[in-house]
Amino acid sequence: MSAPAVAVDLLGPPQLRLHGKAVEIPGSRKTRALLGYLLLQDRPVSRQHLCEWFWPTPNDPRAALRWSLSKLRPVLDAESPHLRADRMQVSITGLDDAVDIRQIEACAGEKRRDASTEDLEALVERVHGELLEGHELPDCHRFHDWLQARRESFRRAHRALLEELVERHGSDAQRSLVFARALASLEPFEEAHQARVIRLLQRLGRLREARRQFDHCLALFEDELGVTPSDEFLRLLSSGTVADTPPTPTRRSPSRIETSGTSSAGLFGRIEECTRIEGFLEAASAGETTPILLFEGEAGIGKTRLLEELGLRAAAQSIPVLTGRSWEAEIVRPLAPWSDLLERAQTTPIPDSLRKDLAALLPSVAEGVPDAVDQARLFRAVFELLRAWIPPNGAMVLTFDDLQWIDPMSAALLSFITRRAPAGVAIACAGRNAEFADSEPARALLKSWTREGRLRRVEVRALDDRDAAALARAIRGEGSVESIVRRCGGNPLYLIGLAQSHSTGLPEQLRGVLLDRIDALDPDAREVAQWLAVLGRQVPTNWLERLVAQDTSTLLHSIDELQRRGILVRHGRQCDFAHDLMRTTTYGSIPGAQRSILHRHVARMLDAEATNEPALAADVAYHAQRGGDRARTVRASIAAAEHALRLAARDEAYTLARRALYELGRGEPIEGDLEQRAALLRILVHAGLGRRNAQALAKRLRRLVEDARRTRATSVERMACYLLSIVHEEAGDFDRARDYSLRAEQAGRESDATTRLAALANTARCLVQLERDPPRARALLGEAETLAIELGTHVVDLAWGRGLLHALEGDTDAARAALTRGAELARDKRDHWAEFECLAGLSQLDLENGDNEAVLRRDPELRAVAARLGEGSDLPFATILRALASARLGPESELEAALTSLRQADTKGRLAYALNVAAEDDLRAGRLRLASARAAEAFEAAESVGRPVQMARARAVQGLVAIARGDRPEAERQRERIAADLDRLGPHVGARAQWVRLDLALTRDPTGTDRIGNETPDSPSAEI
Amino acid sequence: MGVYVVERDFGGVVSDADLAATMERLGPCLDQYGLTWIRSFLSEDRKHMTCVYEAPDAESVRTANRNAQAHFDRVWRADMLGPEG
Repeated sequence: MSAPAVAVDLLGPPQLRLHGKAVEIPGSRKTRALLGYLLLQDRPVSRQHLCEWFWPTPNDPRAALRWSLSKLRPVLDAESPHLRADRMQVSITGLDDAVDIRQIEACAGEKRRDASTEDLEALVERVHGELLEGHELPDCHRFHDWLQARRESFRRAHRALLEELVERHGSDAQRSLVFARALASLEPFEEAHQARVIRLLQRLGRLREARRQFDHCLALFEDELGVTPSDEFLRLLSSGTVADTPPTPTRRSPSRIETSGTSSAGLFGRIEECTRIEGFLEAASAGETTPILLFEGEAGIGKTRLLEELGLRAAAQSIPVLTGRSWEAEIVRPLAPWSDLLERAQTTPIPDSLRKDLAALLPSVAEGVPDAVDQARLFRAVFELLRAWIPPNGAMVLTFDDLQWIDPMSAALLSFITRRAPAGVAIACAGRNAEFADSEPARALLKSWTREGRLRRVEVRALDDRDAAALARAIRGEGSVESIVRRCGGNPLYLIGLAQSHSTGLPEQLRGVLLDRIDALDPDAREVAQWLAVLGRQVPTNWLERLVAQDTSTLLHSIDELQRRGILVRHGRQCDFAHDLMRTTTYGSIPGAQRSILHRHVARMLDAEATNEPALAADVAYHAQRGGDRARTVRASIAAAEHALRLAARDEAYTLARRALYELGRGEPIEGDLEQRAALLRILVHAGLGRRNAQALAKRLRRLVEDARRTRATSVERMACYLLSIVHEEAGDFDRARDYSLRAEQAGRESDATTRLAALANTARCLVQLERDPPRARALLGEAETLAIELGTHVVDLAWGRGLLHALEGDTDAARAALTRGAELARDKRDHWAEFECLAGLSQLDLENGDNEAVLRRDPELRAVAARLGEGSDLPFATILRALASARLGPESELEAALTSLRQADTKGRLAYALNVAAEDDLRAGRLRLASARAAEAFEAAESVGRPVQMARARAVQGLVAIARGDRPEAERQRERIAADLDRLGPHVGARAQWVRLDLALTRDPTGTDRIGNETPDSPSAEI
Repeated sequence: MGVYVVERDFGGVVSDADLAATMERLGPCLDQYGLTWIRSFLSEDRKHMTCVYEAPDAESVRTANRNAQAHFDRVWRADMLGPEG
């Protein structure tokens, strides 16, 4: 069968084949991601949409899109036209059947039942990794979310196929195991998948492996999910399948000492490059202004190794070298490479005169981070610092690696330094030329250096066969290295991987080599590698200590193992992957669900670190977003954007603020979102968006003004009006600018009245809730109501307090209306506590009025709100309300348990209320002893927290029990005690009502004829 | 009356201004709910705080804090131990 005309693989790093032959696709990752995105759309996509998704920064995204499309066209339209693009829309047509993921998904539904096993296996084999692996694009949050969702839907399809294959191979345990393992690796937290692997291993008699798998799962569940597997899973241990062999040591010694990757392998070939290096160093040490050296080439070709060679040769001539490097994960963290570079060089003293100006870059050299940074002063300070560090009559070398990921501020500083060209400072860089297209700062930097005639580009080419063979032999020793040389295509990283490979067959691609190296690691070392991949940058070893669930000696052993195998390199107390491709591959090998958990852990850990290092907030935001922690993403993005603004890094501030706004706008509302929106829009205004897109910003701000006005968030309203005045002023609309200035002032004035209203309503509601001083509460509520009418506003405390007061006064309808309103307002403001209290108040009203069904109907809502409140007595209180209502409708089942929970929650006021209601129900049912006991406990609880109404209510129940028992003197004593309490605690309408209730019962039963003769649960009491 | 411990995790660094505002809001609530503030411990990184109160029950402590919009994670009743037993 001949190969199809076009085949596109999107599962794994994207690839395109024409008649079976690989076609080179553009190196720009954004362009590749765009290709994948368009291939998976069913209809044309507007240019505007693509610009917003792929080029979210505001600098001419349409031109960037045009550039990307121009790179895709020759690839896609080589034989027949597939890329369709007009002024408005873009689409790729006629390739649906050529895309691997589409083919697999098409077969994953019911169709899979009809497909042959061979066809299914062939489909599964096409999965080389995750969809668009390594193309997550950290600065494109919308695309990132789409990619995650698309990966998730593919995971389901993949799972369906694997399950089908496991089932079909049911009788062939060996074959079934292959797909069962793939399932367990796809969804490592699915206990059923793990258990299936263990059972299959058992069937095959591989008990040691079964035991190892079992231990691995236990650790996985406990360490990462914090859960214990089910009993059924644990029984696997006792079923004789895995327990009869001792645990096998998982640590494995490497079979031989290995070279540590590209970093320390000798340099082979590269004669021309070395000549350039020598010339460069010669000029630098002669004090001449050197050209800027740029090593460029594909990933793994040896650029970093050449920068290291430059460093080694410089050191040999006693020329100090400062090294900086950018990481993709830190693309929005301003000045990160400079900060790292200077931090590492701090053994050299920093002149006191520069400390203050350098504080934003090096927080440790000055006290605290300044509120605002004068960019010019900061840049000058770095320049002066470098000059101060140049040895007398000597030179200094600065190297910057991975220039394709440089952030705009770092590029600006680098440009500043090179323009001033201090004599003796020589600069060399390295980067992936194919990816420069994705980086505006890198492009701009290279353009300006080229214009100034200062750039010397050195293209790092593939090793020729002779040099490749020499390198292979240096690693592998004697023997044939021909096949390695043939396969590696002159890429040293690929070559080193092949030469070190333990596989019998040589992997097809560089990625395969790297995956083999990860697979060969022991589980502890692999875990460390995974954390390092998720961290995404060079990190201090103590961060790993905080993240990895290994004791220190195991962790150190794991790090040693990684270092020995050339996967990790250490720079003092920091460590990192030997090559970024190793990071990408390791990252791609972590299942999605696990990756998300790891990112969440990293975000939490870094959040703690960010206290002392505000620059880390950008990293927190990055990891929190990947971990799906929206609240933390927003909070950290605001902090990071504010930090970026302090450094005048407007583009980064803009990107961070956009990301946070996007997070705020999707899913469930986040607490405090109005204030956060205000903070983010303020950042956008200060980042200069108003000058670029005043209309869009003004629209967002007007919406914020409306929302703030509706919820009476006057400080937010004031801020939004103030920002609107700035935006309009910048747009030259001075009339509107003045209007909004006035509105901001007005909001400020209202803010004072609003504050007073809030205080009045709060005090009043507190008094009623605490059953204290109803007349004062009534007066305060009246005053607050007048103010609320004047301001045209509604306040939760006002409706809630009014509701409670009406309830005390016995006006059930008014109480219900006010509490319903209070609950609505609280819901609007996301004040869960007030919402719960108002809803619980409504249920209490229903209980008092015997509408038990209403209490049960409200129960789910009440419990849902209680659950949001977290720790406390709210859930037990919701339970007791339900239990009291249920007990009236049927056999009493959960009441006693619910009372016990309430006692444990240590909430005496609520306990007193519940006991009183239960006691009154007991009294009605003739359970006099129980009624009396519960009333006694209610009184004690109410008295200890000073609740006069519940105290009086408990005494009234005791009095009514006494009447039922014919003990009139005791009932009269209780009536007197209520009166005495009223004298002591002050008049109270609710307590007084209880006195009246008992007094009436005594009046109606002057001779004790209402009493109950026999105290049994079955004999109903008299109507009370 | 019992001794109650309130654990607060601010989820970030608390500023002096925020702390002062919370304390100001909390002051009147303590009286209303029958709480006596004994002592507070603010972590050096200003991210966590533990406050000790004397109070009639845990609910009074929770309500007073909620009313003052003072964030807390846990409230628990405690026995006071000291060098003198």
